[in-house]
Amino acid sequence: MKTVLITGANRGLGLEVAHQLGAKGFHVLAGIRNAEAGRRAEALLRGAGIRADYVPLDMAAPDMIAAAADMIAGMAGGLDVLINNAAVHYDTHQRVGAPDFAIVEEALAINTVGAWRMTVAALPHLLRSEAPRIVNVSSESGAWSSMTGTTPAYSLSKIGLNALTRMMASEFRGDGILVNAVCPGWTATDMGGGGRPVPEGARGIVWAATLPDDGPTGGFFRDGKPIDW
Amino acid sequence: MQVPHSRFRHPFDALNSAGAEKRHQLVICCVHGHEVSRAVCGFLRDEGIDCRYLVGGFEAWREADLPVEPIDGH
Ligand SMILES: NC(=O)c1ccc[n+]([C@@H]2O[C@H](COP(=O)([O-])OP(=O)(O)OC[C@H]3O[C@@H](n4cnc5c(N)ncnc54)[C@H](OP(=O)(O)O)[C@@H]3O)[C@@H](O)[C@H]2O)c1
Repeated sequence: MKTVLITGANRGLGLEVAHQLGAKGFHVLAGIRNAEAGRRAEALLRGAGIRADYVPLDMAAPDMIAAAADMIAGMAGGLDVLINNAAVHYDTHQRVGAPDFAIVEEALAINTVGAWRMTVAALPHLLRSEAPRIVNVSSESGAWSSMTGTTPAYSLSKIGLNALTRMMASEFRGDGILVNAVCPGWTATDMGGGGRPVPEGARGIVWAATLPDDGPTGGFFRDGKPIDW
Repeated sequence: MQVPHSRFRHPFDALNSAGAEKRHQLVICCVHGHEVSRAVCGFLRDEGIDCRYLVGGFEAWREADLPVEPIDGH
């Protein structure tokens, strides 16, 4: 049975990705920072017949990230797929000329450095997998080619995540780990506040998590199709 | 079978269509009335929906000899 760790799996895209991958037979490890939300997500996934375990995980807490990687190895015996999904601060109220730097720093800590730390912690386990995959859930807001002065904290955090995707893909290519950035498109979660149905947004993430061995690495995709960096 | 006039939803469909339910008061009923209905209810409350769950679920409803109907009137 393949295993997947999804950060921020208690609602929105993370929970739906857990649902879709669980339905494909994955053992889902749901990284969630709030204990009640964690138990709830676990109950729902199990209710849907999915093998799921809640893993306490706050992406702002480096110790918890390290502990979570070891916990999943113990619970599931290994890890095949990491989905860096958790994110905060889609700061539509801010402009680059007048940001609240506390928000900028938190966005970078969770969305970018958190995903980086999680990847490093998961790496020894991924290296033992036969088909390791990393999906960095990013956004077109982090595309260099269409960068504007809006959502500055979020955009900076996602272009950073895109850069990490390139670095990781290059570094881990020889180990067979496929690393890609995926934009789910505008999706009707709390963060999206509107947009397409959550299952549709989740599909492109699931696609990147289940790529065949000769699939792409170091790419930026939406709905399984390349988009501009 | 289900509680009369209720609507059958897969738990994940219930979450994903939460936006459409904002103006309604909901009672969530699952089979046993602990984990799934409680979890769905917790999610929907977080979305600002006025929501309760049926303690004991459909099993308790049936044991109490309350009326039932085929799922979604089919
Ligand atoms: N929705 C869109 O339109 C859209 C578009 C482009 C990209 N994206 C990306 O898609 C991903 C998922 O977003 P979403 O729309 O599903 O957002 P969401 O509904 O706001 O969910 C965000 C998730 O991240 C979790 N999270 C935040 N900070 C965390 C932390 N410190 N530790 C652990 N978990 C944390 C949240 O947990 P809590 O419940 O504890 O807060 C929640 O589960 C994000 O990377 C987002 O940037 C979304």
